[in-house]
Formats: sequence, C-alpha cells, structure tokens
Amino acid sequence: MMQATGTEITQVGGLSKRLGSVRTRRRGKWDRIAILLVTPWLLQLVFFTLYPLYIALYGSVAEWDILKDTMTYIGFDNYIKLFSDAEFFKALRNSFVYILIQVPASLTGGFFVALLLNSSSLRGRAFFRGIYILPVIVPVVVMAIVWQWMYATNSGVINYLLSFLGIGQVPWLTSERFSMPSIALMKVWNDVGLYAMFFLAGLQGLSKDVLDAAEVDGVNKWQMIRHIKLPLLNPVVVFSVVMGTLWGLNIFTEPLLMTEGGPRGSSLTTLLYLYREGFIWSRLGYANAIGVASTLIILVLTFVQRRLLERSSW
Amino acid sequence: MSENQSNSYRLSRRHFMAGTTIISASAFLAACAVPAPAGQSAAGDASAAEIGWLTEPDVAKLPETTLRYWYYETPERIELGKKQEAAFEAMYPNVQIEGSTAPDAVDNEMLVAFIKAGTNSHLHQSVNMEDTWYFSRDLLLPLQDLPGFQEVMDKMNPKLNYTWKDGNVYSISWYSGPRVMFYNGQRVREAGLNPENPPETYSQFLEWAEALTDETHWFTNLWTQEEWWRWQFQAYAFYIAANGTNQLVSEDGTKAIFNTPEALQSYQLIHTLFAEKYNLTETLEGNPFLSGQVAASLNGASLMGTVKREAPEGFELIVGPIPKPDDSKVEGFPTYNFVRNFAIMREQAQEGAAADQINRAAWEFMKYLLSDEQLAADFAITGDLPPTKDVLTNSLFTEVLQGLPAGEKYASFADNSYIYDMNTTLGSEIMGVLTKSYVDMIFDAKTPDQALADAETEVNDLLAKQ
Repeated sequence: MMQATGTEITQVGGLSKRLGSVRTRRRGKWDRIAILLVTPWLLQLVFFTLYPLYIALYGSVAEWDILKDTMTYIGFDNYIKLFSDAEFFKALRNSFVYILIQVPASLTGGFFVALLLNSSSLRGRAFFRGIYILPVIVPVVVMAIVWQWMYATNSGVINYLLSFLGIGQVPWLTSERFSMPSIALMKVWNDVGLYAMFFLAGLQGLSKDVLDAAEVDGVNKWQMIRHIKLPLLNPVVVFSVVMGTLWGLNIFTEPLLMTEGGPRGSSLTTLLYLYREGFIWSRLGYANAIGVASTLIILVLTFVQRRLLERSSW
Repeated sequence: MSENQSNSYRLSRRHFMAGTTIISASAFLAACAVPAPAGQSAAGDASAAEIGWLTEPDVAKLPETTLRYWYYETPERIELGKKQEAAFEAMYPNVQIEGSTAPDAVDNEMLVAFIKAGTNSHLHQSVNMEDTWYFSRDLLLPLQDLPGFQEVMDKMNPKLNYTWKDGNVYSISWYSGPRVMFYNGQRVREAGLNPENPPETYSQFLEWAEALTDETHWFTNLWTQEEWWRWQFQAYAFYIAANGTNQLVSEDGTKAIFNTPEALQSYQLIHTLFAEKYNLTETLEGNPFLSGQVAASLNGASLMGTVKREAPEGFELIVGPIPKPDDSKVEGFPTYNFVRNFAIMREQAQEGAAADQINRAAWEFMKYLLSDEQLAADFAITGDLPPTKDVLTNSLFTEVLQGLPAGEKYASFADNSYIYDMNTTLGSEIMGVLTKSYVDMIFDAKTPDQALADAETEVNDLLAKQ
C-alpha cells in the first residue's frame, strides 16, 4: 500500500480546506436564499398558527370581551364550568354517536366501492369513478337542503320508499332518537366517494407481484381481500380513520342548517356548541375552553387510534 | 467548523432574525392601523373639534365626510338602498356613503369582526334585544340630543320605541310587523267556517284547528327549531295576547315575571296544537301556507308582500287576531310587533371632530331614511309597515296598504302591539331560555307548567348573576 508523504497530506488538506471554504460560501448563500424563501411561511406560522394558538390557550383561562378589549385572567374557572356543563357533554356524546356511525360506514362503503372501481372487469370505470366522487363536490348547503327534503316526515322521498316496505313515517330530523344518525347517514353518502378515492389510490399502489403470488397460492377473492389487500392497505385505513374522526368531531354546518342542533340538543355537536357560546353569546373565554378541551380529546383519540390500528394485524 | 463557516452562519441567522422582526413588526403595525376615510385626517384638527359637529344643524356645512352603510335582507331592499345612497349624496355632496351589501351572517358572529376591524356599517339595522348588547359595550351613539331628533320621534308610534333606563335613546324604529293570524280563505270556506269571523278565543281557535286538519293538511306551521331568537316569533304573541303585556322581567330587571296563569294557558294552547297534530313537529317545505298545506300562519307584515308576489291566483288572505284565553280580561287583541331599528354605531377608529363628523352624517342619513317618502318606498317593496303614528291615515302609506291583500285590517293591529321587553340587557339570553322551554314543551320533554317554571328559575339565576 502506498504511503502518502507529509507534503502530500498538507497539499490535500489545503485543497480540501479551499474546497470546503468555497462550498461554505456557496452554502451560506443558498442558506440565506432558503431562509428568505421560508420566511413567508414562518411569518404565516407565527401570525396565523402560533399567535391564535396562544390566544386560544390564554383565552380559555380568561374572561374575554373582544369589543371592550378586555381579557381578564380567571384561572381554570372556564374548565371547572366546562366539566360540570351537561350541554357540553351532550354535545360530546352526539359527536361520538356521529363518529361511531359515520366513520365505519363511510370507510366500509368506500373500501368496497374502491374494490369495484379497481376491478378490471368493470365496464365504464371512469364514468363510475366520476359518479362516486360527485357527492364529495356537492356544496354542503345544497346537500343539507336536498337531504332535508328527502328526510321530510310527511313528504320526503325516503319515507315514501319505506312505505312500500310497510315502514311507517320515520321522523328523521324531528326526533331526538334519529336526528344525529340521520345527519351521519347523509354524510356517509357524502364521504363514501372520498374514502373510495383514498382506497383506490392505495389499491393501485399494491405490488402486483404480491397479488400474483397470492393468486398462484390459490387464495379465493374473499381471502385476497381479507388477508392480502386489507393488511397492505393498513396505512390508508389508519389515515382514513384518523381523518374521519377528526372531521367528525368538527362537524358543524350540517347540523346547523338541518336541525339547528335539535330537537332538544340531540344533534348539537361540540363545534356547534363552541360557536354558540363564542359567537352568539359572546362568551369567548368559555368557547376557547371548549375548543382547547375538544382539541385535547382529538389528540388523545388520534393517538389511541394510531396505536391500535398500526399494531393491528387485521 | 472553520471561522469563515461560523461567521457565515452567524451572519445569516442575525440577518434572518433582524429581517423577521422588522417584517413582523411592520405587518403588525400595518394590521393595527386603520386608514382614515378619504377627505379626513386621522387625528382630526383642533379647530374643527371646537365646532361640535354632532350638534351642527346644517349637515351641508360638514367638511367632506365618508360613512359606511350596509343594505341587506332582500334583493329589493338592496336595490332601494343603492338608490337611497345616491339620492342622499346628491343632496349632500360633502357626504360620501360607502354603501355595500351586508356580508353574510352579519346579524351575529360576523358583525363582531367588522366592528373590531372598524369596517362595520355606521348606520346599523338593529333589533331591540341586540341594542342592549351594543350599548352596554358603548358602541351606540345616543340620539336624543342630535338636531331634529324630536321631529323624527314625534311622528313615530311611541309604543314601538323605547328610552333606555339611562335616559338615552339608542335607536329608532324603522319598520315593523305585528304578529297576527293569517288564514287561507279558500280552505276556511271549504271547511264550512265563516271567514268573516276568525277565531278570537282559544276554544274557537281549536275548533278551527280541528276543522282544518286532516291527514295531509294541517292547521298551523309553528316552528320547532331552537335558535335563541325563535321564541319571539312563535310564542311571544300568544304570551302578550293572554297577558296583555310584553313584560317578561320586573321593571328593575331583577326578577322573571313571565310565569303567570295566562302564560301557562298560552303554553297549553301551543302544546295542544302539537299534541293533537294540528301542527307538525317539522317545518314544511317551501311555503306551506301558500300551497294550502297549512290553513293558518302566525306571521308578520312580510307575508302580505309574499302573498301579493307569489300566491296562486284567487288566493284569499284573511287576517285575524292572536286568540286569547276564553276567560281573558285583556282588552282588545294585543300582540307582539317585530321592529327593526336604526342605530348609529359610533365611529371607532377615529376620535374627536373626525368621529363626530361621521356620526353626524350618519344621523342625517338616518333621518333621510326615516322620512315619510323613504319609509313609503321601503313599505312598497317589502310590505313591512312603517312604524309611524299615521300609518293608517298618511296617503303615502295608505296607497301602499290598499295594494296589499288585507293590508288595512292588518295595519290596524299595530296600534295594540308591543315591542320586546326592555327591562334588562339580558333580553337575548332570556329569549334563549324561553326558546328552550318552548322546545322542551312541544317535544313533550316537559309539561307546559314545568317548562315555564324551569325557565323562570333559569332566568332568575341569569338575572342574579348579572
């Protein structure tokens, strides 16, 4: 093996230093440009995320009158009130009822629609993809009005169709029992196409080798779905469940338009309650406490879901 | 790390931090600063401050002034608002009106944001129970000392206006709509009832309800939704008709006084309407009154306009009073009158003379909108009654009244009508509680007496915490 002399080492070292210096100058220049480029985003982060977050947190321990510009620290009074507020727990319960119906139903529906749309034997696939995605792009106000008509007890098309099955008039939106499930079912119709898109993207990304190997091994269609495709789609499932839960806890416009949270608060959601407290009654401090508590619940729920689903072996 | 490298990084971070701080500070300052309207200096000027623009009788003497005005509610009213703006500017070229269609949802949550940003309408279209919320936050300009105030008030129906406990008048009624019972004449005749004698007592009312309800038709369509303001449109008229007063809270504002035997009778009547399925627990689609699905409608002035514009040919509109309990000792047929007011939202961003100029200009514009001609113009396009004493005698109004179905008979109810109880600043909160009690009752979660008693307790708690 050749041995480098001291002079050679010094020369190489000098060259390396010079190259390093050039690189550093270039890197320094690029760093400055990079910093300049991210500055708008950082400003946005500071002004529109961190500052509102600070206001939300501080507001939740304050009595806040936005028009008088007063924010008086009151400790944890808002939280103490929150944990003894039956209306808040009713809203929370309603939100969970909604999630428990809407998320599994939408995901299951979306998954099977995606399987159908991914099938090479389906004629007019592009057409059906369009059809299923259509509800997703329907404006929520339009959807709420149309479904209100469909759900009408005396003149709605749903009760009309059910009458052929001998089912009497169901008060979909005007009974405490049905109002939240009815809104959840409407959102299932709305979201199946969205989840179908997620699953379709996942299915198209599956390794053909794995699927072919399974076929060679003689798995039937159901086994293929249950033991091959579904486990491979686990990241999509985790994402969909987490996002579905998040969206579910934030549902607002639909109950506001369709039932105003009623009857008797049976479709009042946490966000609708927050809105009423904050913007109708101007109890902004209390509304912030509702917001912070809801965020914490979402965080815990998301964490638990991820832990459970990512470990799941299906 | 070489010294060069180290210097280079320190320099960029320092620059970055300094730059970020400067930009942040500038953005903050820019966001906080509200530009002065054209033609005004932000600080105002000392000589102008001495003039006292607020009480200046002649608005033509004001320096160039710009005020904001939002028109809204219906396309017709928006169009009229634009015309009124142009006509006023022609009369007073020194006053510019930045008119615009009010943003959506401006009745509640959005308004706060606009007030905070100093971009709200100076002339605000308010309602009584919201006035209290605004003036308790020092947002409204007292009107009673402004030039020409008394002339305006002299022509207004005093029952449709209020003076707050501090002696200030914060708003003036703009249009009104007493709540009455409207009936579909054709359905009344088909049921063998006499359209000349609409029900006046509860037992007559329920007789009509029975006669006008079958499997696909219902008597009334009272709302069942639960936004806080709903009670005033559904139950308050029955409450006033039964009690002969609009008072919900004691005059000193410390105690609920609405749990009376008469109020209970009115709740029992409403409960019967739902229990007997004379009224469904859901709001019917479209306009069920015009389509004949329901035979009666508890409604205000705007229904006459709707009937005129949209009713099928031959639709006969009958006006009747809000019924009273059979043994009622209340004189006549009092009812609730929903009144929309004009109030001046003080100019917030500027102070002194500059603010006074704007407020003064807003007052002049308010007076213009409350002139007989402009009230009549609004009446003609909406059917909402002018809240004046002479609504049945002034030819400008009677001309419009005669063109409305049942207009004159309807307008006669205005004389015995009441605005919302103004004994407390918690009017909205109290109505929220009452709406809840109403919904609890019609969905059979509470009996009428329980609903009223619980509402009384809750309102007393609210008043005690005040």
